[in-house]
Amino acid sequence: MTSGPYNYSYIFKYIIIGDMGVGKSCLLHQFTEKKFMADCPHTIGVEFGTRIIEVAGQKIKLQIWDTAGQERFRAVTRSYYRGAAGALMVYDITRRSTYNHLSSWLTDTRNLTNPSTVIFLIGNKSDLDGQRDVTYEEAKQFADENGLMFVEASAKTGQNVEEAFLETAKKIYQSIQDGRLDLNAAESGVQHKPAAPGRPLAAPPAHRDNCAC
Amino acid sequence: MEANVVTTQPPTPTAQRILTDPNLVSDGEIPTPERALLQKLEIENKRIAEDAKAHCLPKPDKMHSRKGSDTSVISVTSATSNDSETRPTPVEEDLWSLWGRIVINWDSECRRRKHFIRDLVRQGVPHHFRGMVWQLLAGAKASDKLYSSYIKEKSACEKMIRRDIARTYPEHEFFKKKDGLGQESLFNVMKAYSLHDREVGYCQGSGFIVGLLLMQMPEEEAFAVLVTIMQQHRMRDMLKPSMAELGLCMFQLENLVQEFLPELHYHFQSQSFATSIYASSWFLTLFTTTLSLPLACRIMDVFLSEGIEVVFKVALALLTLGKEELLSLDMENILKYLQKELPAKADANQDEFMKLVFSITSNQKKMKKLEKNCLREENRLLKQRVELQEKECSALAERLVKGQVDRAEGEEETYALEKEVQALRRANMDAQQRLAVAQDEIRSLEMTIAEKNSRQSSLEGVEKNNAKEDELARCLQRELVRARLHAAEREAAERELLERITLLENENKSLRKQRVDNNVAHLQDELIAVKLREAEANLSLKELGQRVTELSDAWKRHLQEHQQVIPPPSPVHSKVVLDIMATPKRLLRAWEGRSAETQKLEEELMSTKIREVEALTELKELRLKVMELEAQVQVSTNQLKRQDEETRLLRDSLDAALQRERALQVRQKEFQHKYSDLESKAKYDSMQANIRNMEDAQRIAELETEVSEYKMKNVMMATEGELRINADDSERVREMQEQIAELRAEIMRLEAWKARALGRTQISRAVSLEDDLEEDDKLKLILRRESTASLDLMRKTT
Repeated sequence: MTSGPYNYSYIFKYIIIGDMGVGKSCLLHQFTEKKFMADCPHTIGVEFGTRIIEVAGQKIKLQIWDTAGQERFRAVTRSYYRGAAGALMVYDITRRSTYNHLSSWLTDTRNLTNPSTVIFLIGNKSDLDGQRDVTYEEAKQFADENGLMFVEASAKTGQNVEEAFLETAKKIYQSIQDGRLDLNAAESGVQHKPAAPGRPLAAPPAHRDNCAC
Repeated sequence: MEANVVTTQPPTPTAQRILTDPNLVSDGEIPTPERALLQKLEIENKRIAEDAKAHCLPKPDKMHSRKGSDTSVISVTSATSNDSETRPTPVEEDLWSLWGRIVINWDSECRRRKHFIRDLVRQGVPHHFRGMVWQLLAGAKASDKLYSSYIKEKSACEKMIRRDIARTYPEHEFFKKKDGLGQESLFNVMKAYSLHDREVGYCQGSGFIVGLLLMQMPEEEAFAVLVTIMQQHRMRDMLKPSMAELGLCMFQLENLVQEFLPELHYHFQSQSFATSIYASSWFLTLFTTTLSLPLACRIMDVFLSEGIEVVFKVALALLTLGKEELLSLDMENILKYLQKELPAKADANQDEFMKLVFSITSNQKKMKKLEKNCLREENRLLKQRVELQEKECSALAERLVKGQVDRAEGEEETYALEKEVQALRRANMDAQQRLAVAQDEIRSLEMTIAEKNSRQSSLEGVEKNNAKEDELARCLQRELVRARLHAAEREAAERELLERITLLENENKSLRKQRVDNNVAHLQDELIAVKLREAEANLSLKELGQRVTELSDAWKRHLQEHQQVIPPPSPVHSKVVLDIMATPKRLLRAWEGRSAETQKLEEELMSTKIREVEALTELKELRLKVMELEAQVQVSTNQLKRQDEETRLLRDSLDAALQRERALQVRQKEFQHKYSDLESKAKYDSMQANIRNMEDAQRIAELETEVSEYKMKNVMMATEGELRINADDSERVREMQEQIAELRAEIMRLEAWKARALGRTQISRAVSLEDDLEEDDKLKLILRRESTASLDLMRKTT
């Protein structure tokens, strides 16, 4: 599928949401750069990152939107939910309040995305097990009750970060294969890139600037 | 603190460029007397700087006195600049002295040369004057009382602020150190602002602005400037929880882009690249997160002097600068370009960039119009949303009501079904009871039938036949043969019937084995059948009785006839009859013998006839039994059929009931789901309510601490009041003392007067001495009285 100007066949749009300081930007940075950014300025509005992955032999470009977590920014960030194929909902396992707010994040996500959007719950900061405030079982139950995928991850150590992004992509890809996700719908969050020549793009996947998340 | 800033930020080359601008030079020509004054000032500054260095090097932030006058701050800034190795060039010195003059006479200069100052600011405020000039431009008045009271208070936003402190300028030297001076002052200012303006509280992004201010000035001043920035330049509305103003700015910017850079606007639209994606942070942080710090400082210079308009201009300038590249990029790369390459490009030539910024002219009227349009648009959207939500709400309410009604109906139905089932059960039990009763009845009826049959047979059993005439003998013989034939035939029939009976009985038994339901109609049918049979049996009984009487009559008649003719012959004579045929005696004897023979035959006939009758009765009986059994079989089969039907019906209704029950269960489940949904929602609500409660509790605690503080203050004031009362007392004492002193002075005066009077007497003896003495005594008396009065007063006061 490397013919044509694109060396990927799909673009999946993701969105990362969750309370402030749960580590959304760090998760994105860990995923795109494979390293932990300790001094990451807090996000104003939205940030953005990309990475090309492979699912079932298909190259897929993930286009990930990282949002500001403060409550008042929701008015701004709500417009980015539209057309997201995957939503990563993040909370901090050491802060219960971030877990308690999940249901409102979930409501927003359900209201603003389409039914085929894959929602993945991430309990971040799993490296700080000693300060844990939310048990794995509790969150797992919450995820099961709401039909979410779930994993505890650490943006610091990189544990499970890759998995969360990849599992989401697999699920989306599966939806495409099953025909549950309509590629032609504008809101699907998935773009199919045919091998036809288009406008040449300057940025091959190898060239990724430091994402300013 | 200032020292830090200096090392991280090399002085801008602005100063040199100032002179290259002929406009400015002509404007900025400084008269010689002023120059002299500035030189003096400079010398003074140097002295103060040395002082400051000697005094407070370990604590650089103490260098400025908090309440420091304008000049002291300037002196410090210029002093630190002398510390650094970059000694000002003569041109810079000129510029500095110019700025120094402006700063000192800010108010008058501002009034006199407004445009000149604006242009000067546009060239960039010299780095060392920034702190001061920003304060002046903002018109901020630091109020240490207010600020220090805020510092002591606790803010609800503290946690949030803390979370972002380490994430504000994380790479900047001043803010890098965890819990260092920079972070601490940043936190203080943010917290103070969140307390000062509770509606805005803390908004992510404002930290960067505060950070920029703190790089130029101490906490209190930064706080004061922040307050004015927020109040005067739309920033406050931008950072409010609704962030409505930000949306408005985005709308305005989008329209401006459409006007100034139409191609870019259409390109962005085709890439569905919304303005808010790239410009939100520009407005919220005033470019501090996008551009380099020196450039951000220059933008802040102009922002403070010209307002939010500058942000639009800078945004448009940035887009203009990168227009060509942006047009060739797709959405992802546009964003990357706007975040990386474009700021670098603007940074590479700051003055050029700033010129570009100032070349953009904006139209205030147009902006206002845009604002109105945006508001209209927003209003429309909001109305739409409200309508939609109202619709949704009403639909939901309807659904809820419907669901509840459905549920109630379902419950009613289940109740009715239960009742029905119970009724059916009861009916079933009744039917079974009735069946048992009917079976009992059948049994009793059978018993009566059997009884009747036995009675009938006993009646039949009483019979005897007799007598036949001679003429009848042959006939009787023929009849006998026939009867025998009949008997044989009947016996065969009887056997056949018996077989059938046993068969039927077996069938009956097998039928009876099956559970037979009963019915009144069936029982009545059966009863009628039984009665019919009984009647039939009675009829046949009568018939038989008649026949018996007939036979017995015939027999009697025959016997009488016989006795009239001849006495009954003895059986011995019969043989002799044949021997004496010729003679009358013989004939008589023969006759006698023959009669004996007939008698015998008759007897035989009788017995056969009786047997025939017996056989007939038996036959009839058997036929009756067959009939009866057949009827019974029919009844049983009928019963079975009906029961089958009934069971089928019952089964059907049971199936239907089960189905309904299942449906109801499904519905019940649905309702349970709905219920659980509602419950979870309620839980969530209660959780939120709890959170709110906790927050409230926290606030209450805060308020309580406040209250206690106030109480403390109150106590203090009370004590102060007491003290003041005491002070009043002392004042009175002082008054008294003054009075005393006055009185003493009067005494002195009087004594002097007395002395003078005495002298006068010495000079003129002619004046009578007595008079004088009297006068003297009078004075003394007055004095004494006065002194005692004052003593009394003293006593009173003590």
